[in-house]
Amino acid sequence: MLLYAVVPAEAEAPALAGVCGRELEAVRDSEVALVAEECERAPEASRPMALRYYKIVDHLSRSATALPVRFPTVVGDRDEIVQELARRAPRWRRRLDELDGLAELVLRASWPDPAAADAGQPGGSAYLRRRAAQVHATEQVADDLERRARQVCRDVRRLPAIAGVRLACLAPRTAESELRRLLDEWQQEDAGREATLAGPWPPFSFVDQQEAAAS
Amino acid sequence: MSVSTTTASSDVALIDLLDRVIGGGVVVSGDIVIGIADVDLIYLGLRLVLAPAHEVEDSVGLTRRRSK
Amino acid sequence: MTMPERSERPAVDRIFGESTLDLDALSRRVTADPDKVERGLVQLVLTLVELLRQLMERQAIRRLDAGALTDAETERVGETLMLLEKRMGELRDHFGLEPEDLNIDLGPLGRLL
Repeated sequence: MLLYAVVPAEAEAPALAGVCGRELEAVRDSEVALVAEECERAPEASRPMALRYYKIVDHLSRSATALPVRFPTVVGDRDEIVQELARRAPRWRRRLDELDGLAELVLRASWPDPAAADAGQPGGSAYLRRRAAQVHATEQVADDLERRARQVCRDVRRLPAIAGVRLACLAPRTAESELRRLLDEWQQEDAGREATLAGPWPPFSFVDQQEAAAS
Repeated sequence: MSVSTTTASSDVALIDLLDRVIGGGVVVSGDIVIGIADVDLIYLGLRLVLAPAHEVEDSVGLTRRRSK
Repeated sequence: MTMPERSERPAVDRIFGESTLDLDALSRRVTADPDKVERGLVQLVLTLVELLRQLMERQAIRRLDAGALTDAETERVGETLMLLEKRMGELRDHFGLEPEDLNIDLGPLGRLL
């Protein structure tokens, strides 16, 4: 069975078809329920599938707080779901209450390379110093943006990024415009800075209480 | 010139979104087994110890060897 | 070995190739089609090398900042890291991998890089 999200036990059973074309069902515990779908085989882990999956999770989150489950997560049968619920229901319930009304927005920021001027300089020392400058700039921007974001975000977590900075922000959907304003301020302070905002969507990055190491 | 924060282009937003859908979210189950042809080969229990080399060597009383 | 196409790749980075993966969430068993093993191994090896490169670079920068490197050491370490980065790029290109491909999803442990 494909898992979609953890929702409060009192949430209505969703009247939707899942990615495998079957009706979704809510397997309930006393406090929480897991929304699942009977799939004959695991759905392919492809971009279009993940997107379809997301749309369903998003729909679920509109009517009740939801902890999205990582895609694709397939368990053997209802019994396994019941076992999982028994193990984690109290923690999940707590987290659902904490995340009530909150969504996730993702910030991306980029800025001019501080070492651009020295890019041509040959040799190991020059290389290492360039890298040090780039790493420091990244740390600085991340710290700065996180500090600013925390004015509206209940929580901020860093996401892995190959270049630039990516932050996940946990906030009410209505905070989007304020967050945008803060990013504009940051952007205008220096030429070459760029910031973009994506979301809001269900809080994928915040389903755990503790800070996720790499996800 | 007024510069306003752009909404991430749909491509970038999609990448960020998909990254969260498959990289974030609740994780059910805890162990990873890597196998080939249905034979379980590796039980992955990763514990990365990240300590600067000189600290590790000092703490176990080794002399640092310098590479030539 | 056939060169994988550098066309749009699914967003999921798995060890042994997306289409042959059979993910059982409870045991996280990853079963591999023998034909894809080579590609998966290359990805795994390069990812681990990249991890080490990043860790070493981070450590070198820390020591540089702390003034714990002599000029000669700075030059040697910097040159080695520079060559390593260049070589990693060449290996990635040779196997048709993007930087984003060098990242393994360890499920509950998150991404490697």
